[in-house]
Amino acid sequence: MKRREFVRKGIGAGIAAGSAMSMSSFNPLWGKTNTLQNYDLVAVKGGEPGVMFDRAIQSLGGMEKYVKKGQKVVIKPNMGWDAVPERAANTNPQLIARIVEQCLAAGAKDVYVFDHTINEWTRCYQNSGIEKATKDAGGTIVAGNSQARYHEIDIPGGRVLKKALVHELVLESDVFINVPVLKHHGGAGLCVSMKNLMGAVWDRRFWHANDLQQCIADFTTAVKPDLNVVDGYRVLMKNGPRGVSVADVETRKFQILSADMVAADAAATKFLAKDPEQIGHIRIAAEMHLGTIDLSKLNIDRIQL
Amino acid sequence: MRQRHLKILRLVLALFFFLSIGFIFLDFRELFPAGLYTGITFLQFVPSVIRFFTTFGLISAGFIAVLLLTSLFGRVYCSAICPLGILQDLVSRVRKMTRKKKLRYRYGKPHNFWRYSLLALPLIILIAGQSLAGINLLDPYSIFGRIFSDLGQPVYITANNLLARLFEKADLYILYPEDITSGRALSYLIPSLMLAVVVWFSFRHGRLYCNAVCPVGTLLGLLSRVSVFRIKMIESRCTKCARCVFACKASCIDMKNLEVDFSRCVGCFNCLQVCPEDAIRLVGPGNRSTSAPDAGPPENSESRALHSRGRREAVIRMLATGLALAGISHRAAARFQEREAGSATGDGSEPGQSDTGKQAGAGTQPGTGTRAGTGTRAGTGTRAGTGTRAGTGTQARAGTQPGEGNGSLKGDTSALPKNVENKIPTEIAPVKHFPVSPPGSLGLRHFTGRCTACHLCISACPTGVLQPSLTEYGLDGILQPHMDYSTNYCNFQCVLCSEVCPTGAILSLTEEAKKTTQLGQVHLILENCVVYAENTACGSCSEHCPTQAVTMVPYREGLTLPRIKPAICVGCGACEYACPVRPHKAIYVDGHEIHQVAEKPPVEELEKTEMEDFPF
Repeated sequence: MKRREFVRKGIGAGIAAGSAMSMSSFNPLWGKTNTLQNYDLVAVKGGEPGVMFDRAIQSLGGMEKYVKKGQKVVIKPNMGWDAVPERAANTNPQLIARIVEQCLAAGAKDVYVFDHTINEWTRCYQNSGIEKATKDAGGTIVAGNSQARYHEIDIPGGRVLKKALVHELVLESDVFINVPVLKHHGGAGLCVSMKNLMGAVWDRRFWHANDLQQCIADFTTAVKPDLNVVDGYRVLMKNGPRGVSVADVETRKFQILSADMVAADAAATKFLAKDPEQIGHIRIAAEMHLGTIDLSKLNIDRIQL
Repeated sequence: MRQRHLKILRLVLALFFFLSIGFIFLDFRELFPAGLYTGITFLQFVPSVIRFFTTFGLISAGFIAVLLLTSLFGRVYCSAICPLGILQDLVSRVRKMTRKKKLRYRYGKPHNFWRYSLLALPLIILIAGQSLAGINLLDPYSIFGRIFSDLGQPVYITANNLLARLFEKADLYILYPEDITSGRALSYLIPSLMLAVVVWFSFRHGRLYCNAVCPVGTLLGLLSRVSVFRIKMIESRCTKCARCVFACKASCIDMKNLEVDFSRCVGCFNCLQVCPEDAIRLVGPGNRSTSAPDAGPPENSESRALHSRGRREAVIRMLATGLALAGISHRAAARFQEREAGSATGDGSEPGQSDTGKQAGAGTQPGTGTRAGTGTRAGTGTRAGTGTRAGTGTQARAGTQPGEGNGSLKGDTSALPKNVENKIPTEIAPVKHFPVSPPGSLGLRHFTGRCTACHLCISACPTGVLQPSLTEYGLDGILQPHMDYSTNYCNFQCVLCSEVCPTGAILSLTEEAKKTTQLGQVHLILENCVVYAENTACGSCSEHCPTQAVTMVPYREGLTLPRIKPAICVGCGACEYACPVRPHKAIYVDGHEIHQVAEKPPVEELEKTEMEDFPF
């Protein structure tokens, strides 16, 4: 417990220092930001994953805005693949570690990390580096491989998808943070926030058999994360979502934070020089008024580190 | 030396082997280090013999150690090393504890007809039938393995899951639940039957199973007739209290003639412990006489004649058995031979020899140089309709796909099985020519000719893709594990099964070699594909493919369609497992008769994305 306390205090101090810096108009780097503004979306570029997150969450008003004392937090990264971080098939472990630390610093009682993996789960957890990063940061690793932990929910707003088995942690926790890694996806076009939620679901075969793009959008009518953090540090540019080798990966060093999944996914799509309207589930979700695809209508904080 | 301590030594060894071997068959979470598996199973007789004829070398010399041990001290293997024997002792112990009346064994005559028939039968099946089936069904290690793997592991996992749930209620996430992959009924039936037989025998008759049924027991019994040290009764000390007889699980102590049938003695040493007079002892060659305790007078001529007759008989029987065992590597599993002429064009040598030759030379590169063999089926691409390759002799083995050739499914959704989730049920059945054998097994012939179906790989397999077969390898390959892509698929970077196999049926693979080992090749039935048939996005197959032997290429209206590159396919079955359509999948793996080497996936440089800082 001592170590965890140390981390909490350390991060608290860091945030305080960071805030002080951001208030100071003498510092040209931080001078432009104003933490009191309500941003819909924050995009940050040019730093290490943890640093970018610290900066972006501060811009959104700090982790305390999302996590209250004593709350249970569940973080859903993408760690579906038996691949090392350099392959960028899974969310960056440093980013997950920092989010866990921030949640604990904000007073979270427990921070759980899980994924319903696609490859064999123990290897995914281990080789993605997320298991170790989470434990070192003071979070709790939970298995997502047992059907008994998934419970059926109704999706009244869904056009095709009317029911789904969802992991109990997502249903029970006070705060749900969705942390996808941006990558190419052979079937869905791109894998960002909305697609990442498939990893919180047990019965995914139905989605593939019944209009994948529509089902991805349908699910977001029922399950909405409190915050989405899109990891664009390393980006799998092709052969996604698994990738074949590191040759498929480009280091881009950006991150997008938003509570609006459609907006976050649209912004991420633009980072890859693609049109969000061309990605089926993003377009459908926008049509169903599940979020804003037109980024010009949003209050966006753009941070270059 | 007080020989009563021998029993304690036996107990310690027995506990060690029972617990360690028992645990590796239960362990589903890789708690037991993979590097220790071969050490733990090193002394198991039948796997070691088969391994010896596969790889030679010290690693497979376990059975020689057992033969030496037996020729010195008799069948101590049966009580200290054989897990099935130790399991029977546990059953006897339970019976002892639950009964009020004292448990007393009695002397019994040997069941020579049964024991020698059941020793000969598997060897006859091996040589005449060219099949391991008889050995697989009677090998005590494999029987034990199947009991613990097929029946014990689900119980163990269930206990784990209950505990995990309890801990989770207290917000403790230290144990993780695991879903049990359910096999088919028959794969439970045979182990259950054998468990019942073994329990019944040991409950009623001590170690009668080991002396009437078990071929390893009988074989070692032949050798123990001529062993250096044997258990003898010393007439001058014996008070005929018969405590040793009551304690003898093997029923081999004849009080009337003061004789011990050492061919049936399982070396438990219980008799040595219970004798109050030290009148029954393990004695060396100088002390054979029953009448004298220490270096007594010479044997009478009658008993000497008896000895030499027994010895001659034993030697002849052992020779016959040895010859039979030597046939394993070359004879078994030749039923695939007729097809080999067509597919093994890479090297013209006798396939069995090329298998072992390769292993001896570069054990981690199976199938090197035999790639040419796939020429006939590579690049098949998309195939419309069934039956283009039908009519081969092995078609019957494919029978894993229900409803094959059933063309009347259209529109009749009420008759469909419940697991069809796609709107339009698929109609074209995959055609599989060969089952898929595990990575490192070189091919069907090598694998089926060496696997004793102990199911250790099934227990160890982290994904559950390895399942006991029923008829996939033919009826005589029953229970030998096959890659069941309806259950799961093979993890690209995992080589666990190749590290644990005690017989050499699955040879050790490095992770790098595994990544180019092609177990079978992908086939696509585009008409079944949900993208093609229903115009909705999917990509599940390509998503799962580790080498992108299935890629998604632009189709229409922003959709992508799968395209296959069989040359870089490793046959892991991920695409087949992931394909969402039923009753017939749109993509599947047809096994190779001989594993091939897959090409490495091409590596292309990425184009750098040039753009402004924030494109919005």
